[in-house]
Amino acid sequence: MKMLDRWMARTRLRAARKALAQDPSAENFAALAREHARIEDYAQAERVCAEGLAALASNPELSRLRSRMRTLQLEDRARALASELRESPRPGLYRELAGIYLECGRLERAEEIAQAWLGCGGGGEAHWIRAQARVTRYFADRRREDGREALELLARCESALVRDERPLRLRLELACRVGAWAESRRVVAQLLELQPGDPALEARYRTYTALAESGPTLEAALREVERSGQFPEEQPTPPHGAPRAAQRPVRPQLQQLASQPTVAVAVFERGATALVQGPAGATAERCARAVREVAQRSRAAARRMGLGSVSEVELEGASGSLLVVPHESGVAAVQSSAAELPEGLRPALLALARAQVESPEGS
Amino acid sequence: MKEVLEPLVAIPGVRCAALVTPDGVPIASCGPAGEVQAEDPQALAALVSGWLASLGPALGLASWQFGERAVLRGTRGTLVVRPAGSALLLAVLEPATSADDLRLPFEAALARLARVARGARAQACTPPPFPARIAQAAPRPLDDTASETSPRD
Repeated sequence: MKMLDRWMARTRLRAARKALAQDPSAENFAALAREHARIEDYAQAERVCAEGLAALASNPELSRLRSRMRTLQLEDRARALASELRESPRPGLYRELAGIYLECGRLERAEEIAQAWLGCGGGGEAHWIRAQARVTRYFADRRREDGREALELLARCESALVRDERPLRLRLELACRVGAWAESRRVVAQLLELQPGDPALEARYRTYTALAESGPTLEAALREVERSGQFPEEQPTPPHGAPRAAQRPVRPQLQQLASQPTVAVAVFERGATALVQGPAGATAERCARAVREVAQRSRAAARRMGLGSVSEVELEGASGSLLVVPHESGVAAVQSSAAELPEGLRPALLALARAQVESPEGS
Repeated sequence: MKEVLEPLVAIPGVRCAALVTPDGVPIASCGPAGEVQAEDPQALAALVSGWLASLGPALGLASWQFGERAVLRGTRGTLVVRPAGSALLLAVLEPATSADDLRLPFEAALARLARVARGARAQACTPPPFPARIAQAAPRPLDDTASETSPRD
């Protein structure tokens, strides 16, 4: 049976390679990568995806496949490392396994491995893994408690790993992201003690000195980020004068979405303003409120569930399907009467939500 | 119930799967084989039921009904929820995994769950056999004389 499987896999691979040689399209690259994945040759599958991406830059399906293949390879390695760790725990294995979990975004597992390493005398390096996991979690979930915990772990790292720049650099990144400029200046001063005369650090020191007077304290900055759910750099800047070249009017895009055969409602919201295509009057108002509520509830739920910040909410049922895309620049949503969302609607909605658009006027 | 969830978590990219009641009580949960489950099933069940309950009034504003499937996609993972009879079947996926790729496995899991529920119902409805039938079904001893007891006075 295995021989038959191997023979069939070879035949399919040959056919996929031939198809790719004749037509080097994204579909054929993906088909060949899938054939390699089917015989568990994930490294080769990743190489095929990389080749495809080099030829057809930024193809979303190939990017997704490549990332999936990389994850599968890492999972294989993680399984091997976990079994090796059970037999003979060593610092190198702990470090590599925790690094893999960090790369895969499995922060809880990374923290568990670091905790186990601490039990076996991991010291500063184990604290460093925990601090990285906690900072990554804070950047995704933006909870004040995670931020405080991350700072505490970084402090432990700094005392355990003397003259090591890594914890200081991470603390600087955290302080900059939340907009705590006084704290940023203090960390840069510490870094300058380790690297005196570094021009980039000196420039940053001067910038933070200028900003420190007006900036909030670290605690206040963490509180503000938790309240708003946004880092200062993500908050939209108020428009001055004429719209920028990158800005596009939202109404034509919404009208285009609403003109699709199965789309009943298309909504775009920013702040307290909403633009609705499809229904009119009170029904439009209720649709806009429903979309806003769904986005708000889902944002809070995703953060509590540890899923990070929400990129999409998709609901299906008797009323067809609803896709809500919350983004910093606004919330875009479509309700379709089809049970499954029509092909091509999702990318258009994502583009609408993520694009720098003009403020919607009226509802 | 584990046999319903195990094929789901065997799919690459599925972090965990669980069967929970609509009011947030976990019935069964399963993580990938050989790994410690990262998500706390009780917390996850409560949070998912809370999220779905909070969506009800919001969707009611526009008289929308979306009770068939819910997907919550975040930067660090994706949650997929499907109603399964009087319970909810949910799975947490890795960020790179597409929820659409799991449509068929979810259907299969729901079918398995229905089969398990039917089997349990049939077992519960089958009346217990009469004592005489139990005696008939029991294997007779090879040596008849050994089973004989002395007659009572």
